[in-house]
Amino acid sequence: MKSIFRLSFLSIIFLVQINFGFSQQKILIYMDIPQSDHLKAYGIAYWSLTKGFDVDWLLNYRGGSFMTSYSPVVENECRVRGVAFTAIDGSTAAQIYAEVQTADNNMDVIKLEKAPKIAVYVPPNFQPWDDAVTLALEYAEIPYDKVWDEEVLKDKLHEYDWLHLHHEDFTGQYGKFYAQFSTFPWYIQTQAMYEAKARELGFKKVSDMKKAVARTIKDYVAQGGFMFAMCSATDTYDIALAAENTDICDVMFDGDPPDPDCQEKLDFSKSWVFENFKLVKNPYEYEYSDIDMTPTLGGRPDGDYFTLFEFSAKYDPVPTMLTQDHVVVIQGFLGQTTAFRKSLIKKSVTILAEKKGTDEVKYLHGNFGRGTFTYYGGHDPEDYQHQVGDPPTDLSLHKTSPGYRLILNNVLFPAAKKKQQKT
Amino acid sequence: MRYTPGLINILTIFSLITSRAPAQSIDEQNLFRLAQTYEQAGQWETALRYYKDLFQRQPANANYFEGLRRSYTQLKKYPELVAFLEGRIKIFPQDIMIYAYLGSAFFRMEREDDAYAAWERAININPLNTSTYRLLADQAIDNKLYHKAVEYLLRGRKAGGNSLLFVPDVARAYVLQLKFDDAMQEYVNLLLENPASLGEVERQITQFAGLPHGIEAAERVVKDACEDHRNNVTLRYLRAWLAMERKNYNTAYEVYQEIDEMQNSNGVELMNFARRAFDEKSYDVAMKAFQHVAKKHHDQHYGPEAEFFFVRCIEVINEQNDSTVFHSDSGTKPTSYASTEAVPSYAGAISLYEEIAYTYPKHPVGLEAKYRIGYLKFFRFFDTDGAMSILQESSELRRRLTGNPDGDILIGDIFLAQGKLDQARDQYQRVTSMPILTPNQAQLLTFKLAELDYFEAKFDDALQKLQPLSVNSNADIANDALLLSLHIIDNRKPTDAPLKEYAHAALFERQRKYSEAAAILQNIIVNFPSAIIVDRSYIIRASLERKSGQSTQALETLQTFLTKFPESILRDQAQFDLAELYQTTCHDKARALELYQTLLKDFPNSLLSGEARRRILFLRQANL
Repeated sequence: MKSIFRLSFLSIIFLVQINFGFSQQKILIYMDIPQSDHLKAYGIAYWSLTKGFDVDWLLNYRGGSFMTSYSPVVENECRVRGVAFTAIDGSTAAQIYAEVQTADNNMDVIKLEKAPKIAVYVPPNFQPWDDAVTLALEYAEIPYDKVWDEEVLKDKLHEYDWLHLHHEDFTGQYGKFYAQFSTFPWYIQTQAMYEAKARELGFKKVSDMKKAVARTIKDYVAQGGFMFAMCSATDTYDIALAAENTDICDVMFDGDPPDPDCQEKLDFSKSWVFENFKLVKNPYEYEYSDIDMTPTLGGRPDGDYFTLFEFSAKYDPVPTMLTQDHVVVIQGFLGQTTAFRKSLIKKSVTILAEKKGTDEVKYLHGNFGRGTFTYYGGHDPEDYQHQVGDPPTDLSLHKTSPGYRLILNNVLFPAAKKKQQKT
Repeated sequence: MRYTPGLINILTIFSLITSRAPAQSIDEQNLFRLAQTYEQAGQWETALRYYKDLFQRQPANANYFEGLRRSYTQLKKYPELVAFLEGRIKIFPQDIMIYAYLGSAFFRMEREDDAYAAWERAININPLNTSTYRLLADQAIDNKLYHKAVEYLLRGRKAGGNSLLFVPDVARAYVLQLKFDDAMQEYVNLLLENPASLGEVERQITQFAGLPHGIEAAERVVKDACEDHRNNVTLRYLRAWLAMERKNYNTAYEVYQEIDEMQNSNGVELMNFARRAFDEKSYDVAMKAFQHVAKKHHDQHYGPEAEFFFVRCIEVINEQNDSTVFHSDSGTKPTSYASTEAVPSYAGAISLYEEIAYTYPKHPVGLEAKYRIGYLKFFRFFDTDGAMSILQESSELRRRLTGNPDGDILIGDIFLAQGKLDQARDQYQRVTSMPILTPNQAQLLTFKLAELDYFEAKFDDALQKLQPLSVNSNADIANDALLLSLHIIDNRKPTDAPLKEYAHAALFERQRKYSEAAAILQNIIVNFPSAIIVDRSYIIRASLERKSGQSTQALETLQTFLTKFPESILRDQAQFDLAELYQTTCHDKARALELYQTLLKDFPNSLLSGEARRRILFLRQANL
């Protein structure tokens, strides 16, 4: 019996060696606790792809490690960026691949093919520290372009594989900051700039322009794009889709009152994630709807943790990729939209992380057409209660941030080669 | 505030009960409260019903009219609203507010021409009434019709015969269209007539300064206005302020020169500007401004200050260009410690300070100049006698006039550098007893006294003094105290002998007797080969060789160390120093890059790896 087992194990190694052809040395960038800089490790994976090196993503193996062909250039770059790695010989690599491929292990190998081209949807006066994703991209040294309404509406999105939505308000209510900030220069400037852009692009209202942008993004995803949204870009995007045929903006936002029947006129068949939500119509209230669960939290980090779900790496590679992390329980963080009310989430959506024992969903994923979307609640994973005007987070002090890793999983996920789904 | 259905029901029942009350006014009041309650609850249909009822009872009541109008508006029942307003106009044909509302209703029905016609009817009631134009502009803004708002405001201005009427409103409406040039022209016109509004104009400009092209447009318009109005000082203040907002201190300086002349202020304006430029670290411009004041207005009471700060700027600029000084901004360490390299530039500053000290011997500025001379002579030239002489002559008076004991502390440092340890100790102790000391200064002096003990191999005394400093994490000196404590504790076993030698070498190093210090370190290496401190002796020896310009020798020392001590915990430091030598002294960037990379490879967990990475990136960019 033992010899049969040994024989089959060797056969696996042999087959894997044939499949992957790694008689040569490899570099293993492990992603479990000993990794010195998880965030820059994603940058190394991305950089390796741009330089033509093969990169395999070993799902659930040591926190979702990366394996590349050995090269002194890669090795040196890892050192320069402070990313821990191990140079391994061909047979050790073969053993790792065999372990990952073994049916009993909830692991899999995903081949990353090309560095995805990244666009971040941000207004022209944006600063990198306004947004966790751009912070992460800058820190990981992953290049990105900025796009805004004009570029989106002029069909530039098809040039990109991955689109991140800044904590934008797609409902056209300027973040619902009116009560607190309407006299502040930044608010006045934002409103003036948005209105001018809407006029320039032929829209009477900013809310109409934002709806058009939301529709264009929807088309982009339908055609195979990857969309990732954080904070208020999540619920406002869905609200904008559902509110396509009604006016939910009050007079201070768009110059006329909202449709008195706007709640009833919401079309939940058009939204991706949420249904049956109730709008917060009060323009002075800093909330869009009952989707967000921020108000139910006490604004205290104690006890605010969310838990990642575990998925079958071999059968559900996409959610598995999105939840690769070195820990499964992660410190929560607030945002204008912090967490999503589970009872309002459509059945078609995959929940990736939630706060156990509550109705709060932190992280979710779904498909639309040929593309996918991911929503991640909260503003900055390493600044529990980020406020307007707060200083930027220095990611060199949070090199191993599990919350930021989830963002970077999304960045690399479009690089994955689509595999035949196991049946 | 939100009302619950329960509360609304109670109010409804209450209203039904009270509706049977005999007094009609009470009934109406209750109905009105009810209507308001529904309105606040966002139940506009019900509110509308009640307001209609009330309005039918008393069509002249302005509150009922307003409630009904709001309800129609919120429910977007624009045709009904239009009919209602037209009916109202028949009763109150002179009420311009109704026309204003009517225009808005038409506009929201997408009947723009009718909207403008309604507003025109309001104007025609009394074309000279400027309030009408303001009212219509507000309506236009509410409807996001900023161009119409400007139009009405300008017509109102013409009707009122006042060219400054509505300036802030017109400007704001222009800004909302991102027409910054036009907005700025309004503010310029306002300032031409009313210079006292400068502060308000600056405040308004900040509202759009953050928008793309906003501040550029403001600068452009104000510059043109300054050319058109050559005698207007207010415009120049605005221009200078705009330039400084953009950190363009050169332009601001030019403008302040004009202002100073126009105001006949004898340099006061330029002095204020120079101080701000200095505080903002724009030393080159500050230097020019101080120099100008010092030359042209030296007889004014601020003349000496201008002279001093002119030289102070020169000193700072010299320091920025001084390769012997560590610059945290560029992240580069000194290329060499040879003081001769710094001589010419600092010599100029010292000579100018000497002039000031001579001219103003008892003035705070003269005493400050003497302190700077002592400081430069000691730190830049290591002229201990020269520094001591001038500090001893001036420190006491300086301390009495300014309350600053820096000069007294520096005297102690100089005694130490001269090897006069007893005098140094006396001096530090004397300063310690002064009541003017800040807590930081007091802690610094305790540390200096502990250092003296260390140099004299009185290790227990040193540790005793360092102990309270090490545990006080709020003290600036805590880290230094902790390092010295650990150094002493770690190297006393099994015997004090090598540490005594090492402390002696450290004293020589402080006295810049590098050869003597290196010789003692060599003795430690030879005589105490198994002492822990031998490793550090190599590293420090190389550093001393480098400081005395013997870079080849330093390279050799570090390489010998790396070969001979494969297990030393200081290998990463040696590797780093080696790379730094190649980078900054030998100027061999390729070799330096290679060595920093080797450091990362061989010592991935070194505390120096972060700095090594930073330097690799710097060298890579430099190689591009």
